[in-house]
Parts: sequence; structure tokens; C-alpha cells
Amino acid sequence: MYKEIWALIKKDLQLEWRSGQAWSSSILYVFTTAFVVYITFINIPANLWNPLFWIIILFTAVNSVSGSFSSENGSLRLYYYTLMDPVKLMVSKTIYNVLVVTFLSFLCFAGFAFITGNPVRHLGNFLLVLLAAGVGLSITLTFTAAIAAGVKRKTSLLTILSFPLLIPTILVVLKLSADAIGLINDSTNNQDLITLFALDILLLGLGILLFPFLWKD
Amino acid sequence: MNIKKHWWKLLGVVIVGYTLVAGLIVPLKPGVIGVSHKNANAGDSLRMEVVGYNTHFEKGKEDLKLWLKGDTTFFIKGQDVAIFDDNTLEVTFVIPAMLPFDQSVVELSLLIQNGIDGPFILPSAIFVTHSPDSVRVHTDEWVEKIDLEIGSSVMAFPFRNILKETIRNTYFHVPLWFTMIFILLGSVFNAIKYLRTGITIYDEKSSAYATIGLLFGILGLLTGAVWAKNTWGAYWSFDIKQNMTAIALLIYFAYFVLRGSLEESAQKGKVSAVYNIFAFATLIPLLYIIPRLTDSLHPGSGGNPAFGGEDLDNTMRMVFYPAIIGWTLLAYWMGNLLYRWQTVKNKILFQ
Amino acid sequence: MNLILPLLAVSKNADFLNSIGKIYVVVIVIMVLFAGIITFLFRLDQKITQLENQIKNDE
Repeated sequence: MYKEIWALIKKDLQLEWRSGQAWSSSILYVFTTAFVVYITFINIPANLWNPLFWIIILFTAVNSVSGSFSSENGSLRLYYYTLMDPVKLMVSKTIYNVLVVTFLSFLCFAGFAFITGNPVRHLGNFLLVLLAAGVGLSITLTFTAAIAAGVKRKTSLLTILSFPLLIPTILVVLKLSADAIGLINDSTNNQDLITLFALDILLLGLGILLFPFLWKD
Repeated sequence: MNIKKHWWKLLGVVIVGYTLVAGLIVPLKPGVIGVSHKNANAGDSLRMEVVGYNTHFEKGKEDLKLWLKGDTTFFIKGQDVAIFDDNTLEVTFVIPAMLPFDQSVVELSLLIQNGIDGPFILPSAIFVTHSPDSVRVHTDEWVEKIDLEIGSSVMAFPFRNILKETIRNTYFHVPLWFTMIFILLGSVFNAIKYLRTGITIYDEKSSAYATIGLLFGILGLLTGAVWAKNTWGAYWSFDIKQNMTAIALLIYFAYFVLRGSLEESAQKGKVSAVYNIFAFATLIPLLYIIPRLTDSLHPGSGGNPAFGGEDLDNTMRMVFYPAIIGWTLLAYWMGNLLYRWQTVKNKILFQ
Repeated sequence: MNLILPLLAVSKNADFLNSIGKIYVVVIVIMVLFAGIITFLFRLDQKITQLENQIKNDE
């Protein structure tokens, strides 16, 4: 079971790595957006930095996840379908996207902090929030990408399908990161982290439960 | 028409009719709209104008009494009452130089009672500035205890100063939100049934209920905006139901875009059912998340006077809960009409 | 009556929506509600007319 999942993740990573272009375009996307935001604002106060940063992360994540089911179309899809369990495919895709989105958001943080200055006070907490956000965003986005897979004009559909679903995650993450930056001082942080992880588990569970229905048609 | 089959439609209509009649006919309790002075200093003698709502100052003038009230043991009696009409009067309060409070600014409430209206109160009617003195020196100018009379117990809705008559919107606006949630729940329920059985009827029901959910969501937002504009001055406040409705609308508009962009019927049903279930499940945690965030992200805007359950008194419950049931029944009826139209259309198309 | 202070003047000269304890706000809310239901009825009526026309054409 784990072997299969790991093999799938490795396959995706290798495909991505070999094409090279996908990586560089994602990284460029992050830096371009960060730079455009910097050019338009120049001086970004901490209470603005927080939402701006998360909006950049949101778009970066949507952009990078949108293609995740495009390679499994047509005959290859049928081949996979006969070969393997949809749940494993779903889990492997999710883990792969978690890796990519988390990597990109760390990169985004580095780039954005480099250009606009770093307001974060509790770096450890902030990185933890980044990780939790990466997990939450990728689970929802992977699932909506699977929903939007068979449709024309995929990217715009993915945006309208996923953004309302990401609101709970984004709200909790905004609060947690505001605390890490030092904008607010909140003692209920742990409870919020638990909420976030409970949300992630709920979404992942639903995804695993519902994905087989999407896959077989 | 077979009454055994259609009783719930009749029930819905009767209940909604009842809430319309009861919600509009039952009067508000007497209350105070405002007083002419907001601030005073200790030792002042205030000639104050009082404007009431649904009050009977003229008719109940024999036993009309006015008090300024600090906590539960501080009362100043009003003197020289001049009544203009049932809703307007003037009264003099002589505020003693010594007030038994620690703070330098004391909030006093205005308490009025007469035989017809019973006792009613304007909270924080006036702010009195004095030099704090922790020693409670009793002077003759204030008393520690008064007797409250009980007014006639006519059925009435509570008077809230900023809401006034618009408190009735609790029966015409708030149930729309509950109806939306219930009908969307019906949509999700049918989506689950469709995934389990693959019978097209359930998919059609699911999408019909989602349409009605959208309709009620839009109506809820519109009526809410009108109400909010005229009580709090803005069309949008960071209210949980308002935000959840907005998110639900986004989700279900996306749901219909998704349905529109899929052509093959089986795939359309399956994919949209999956999205429906997944989306509704992410909507529910907001009930827990948004209230936790409002205070920290938007300081000062937390606390919304009109919505919470604690603001409902028993008279209001007698109209509010039936309103939810009535509108949900009507929404279910509307959804079924839509779904029946869809099945007939499909029959004709595939003949 | 010249004792009457600005307060009463405000409440007497209030605009239409704020008169009689803001009851017209309730009226607007109910009107919006019924406008919504009537819109639904109109749309359904149109849809059913289309179906009827289709049946007529088929015959």
C-alpha cells in the first residue's frame, strides 16, 4: 500500500523534475507576484503584510495544483483505472501537492520577506502555520482539481470552485499568522491549530470517501 | 386534490400566514426613544424631556413615577412632571452632589412606571460626572429601594431602542437563513442518495433544492441589507449568518457553473453531487470558526444585538420558530415544483 | 409647547423610513420577500409555457 503511494509520488516528482520548466515557472510566478505587490505598495505595514502574503500563497497554490490531474486523461486514465485503487491515487496526489505547495509557500515567504522586509516575530510559529496551511490548501485544492479535471477552462473553474471552500482554512490561518507576526496576542492559539488540523482531517476524509465516485465513470 | 398527500403544503401556508399576522399585529412593549440630556454633573438640577414609544403618560398619569437608577440601590425621584401627551413629558431630576459610586463617570438608567404600562427602562440614559467618593453617605436626595408595579400583561414584543418596530424583521428575515440551510441540507441529502443509487431523480431533486437555496440566500441577503442599513447604518456587518450566506451563494453559483460546463448527464450528476457534499461539509465548520475570529480580526465590531438566541423572549419565540418551519415547508414545495418541471421536461425531450 | 427640545423635533421630522418606529423597514423587507417568491412563480410559469408549446409543436 505505502509502496504504491510512494511510487506514484516519486513518478510525479520525477516527471516534474525532468520537465524542469514547470518548476521554474512556479518559482518565477512566486517571485513575480511578490515583486509586483512590492512595487505597488513599496512600504507594507505588518497588518497589511499578513493578508497580502496569504493572498499570494492562495494564488500560488491554485496555480500549482491546477495541473495535477491533467496528465491522467484519456487512455492513461483508463490504464490507471484498471491498474489501481482510486484512494491510493488520491492520497498520493494529495501528498505530492502538499510537498509542492509547502515548498512554494516557504519559497514565497523567503522571497516576500527578502523584498518587502520580514515582520515575523515568532519565526517557528510562523513556519508551523505555513506548513499547516500548505496541508489544508493542498487537500481542498487537490480534490477540487479532481472535480474540475474533465472540464474545459479548467483554471478559472478551479478558482471559483475552490476559493469559497478555502475560506475556513484561510480565516484560521490568518489569525494564527497574525499572532506569529505579533499583530494580536492570543492565548487560544493551540485551540486554533487543533481546529485547523481537525478541518484538514475532515476534508481529507471526505476527499477519500468521495474520490472513488469521481474516478469511475 | 387529495388532502392526505398535500397537507404539508396547507400547513406551510397556514403557518406563514400566522407569522405574518401575528408578527405585524402584536404591539411593542412601551419604551423610551430618548431623553434630551445625555450628560450632567453631580449637583445639577436637570429639566429633562422624555420621549416614549407606545407609552400612556397621559392616561396613566395618576400613578406615573420616574426614577434615575444607579445599580440596584440608588434611585433619584423625578419631580414636577409636566405631561404633553401620551408619548412626551418633561421632568426635573435633582442630582445630589454626593453619588455612592467609585467611578468618576456614572451611568444612570431612566426607569418609568405607571399603572397602564408597568415599569420600563432606558438603559444608560444619562452620564453623570462627579468626583468619586468611596464613602456611601446617604442623603435625603436618593433612596435605596422602590416598589415596582406590574403592568397589564398584554402579549407584546420587546422594545429595543435602535430596532423599534424593525424587531419584527426577526420573523421575516432571519427565518430565510434557516430555510436556506435546511433546503441546502435537502440538496446534499439527495446528492448522497444519488451517489449511492445512481437514480437520476435524486440528482434532479438535488439541483432543484440547490436553486431554491440560492433564491432564499439572495432574499436573505437583500432583506438583511435593508434592515442593517436602517438600524446600524451599513449594508454589511461582519455577521456570521450574513457571511455564511455569502459563502453559500458563492459555492452554489460555482455548483451551477460546474453543472453547466459538464455535458454528459451521468458525469454531470456524479461530479456535481460530489462537489455539493464536499462544499456543504466545508460550510458547516464556519459556524464554529467565524465567531471565534470576529473579535480578534475586527475589534469593536463583535456583538450583534439583533440575532443571537439570547435576544429572543418567549413572545418572540411563539412567532419565530413557526416562521422557520413555515418557510421551510414553502421552500420544499417550491423545490418540488421545480423538480417536477424538470422531470416532465426530460420526458418530453426524450420521447 | 415651546419647551419642546430638539429631540422631539428630530423624531417628528424624521424621514419616511424612520417614521412610526421604522415600521416601513419591515414593510420593505416583506415586499422584497414577496417579490422574490413572485419572481420564482413567473420563472416557473415561463418554463411551463415553454413545455406546453413544445407539446403543441410535437402534436
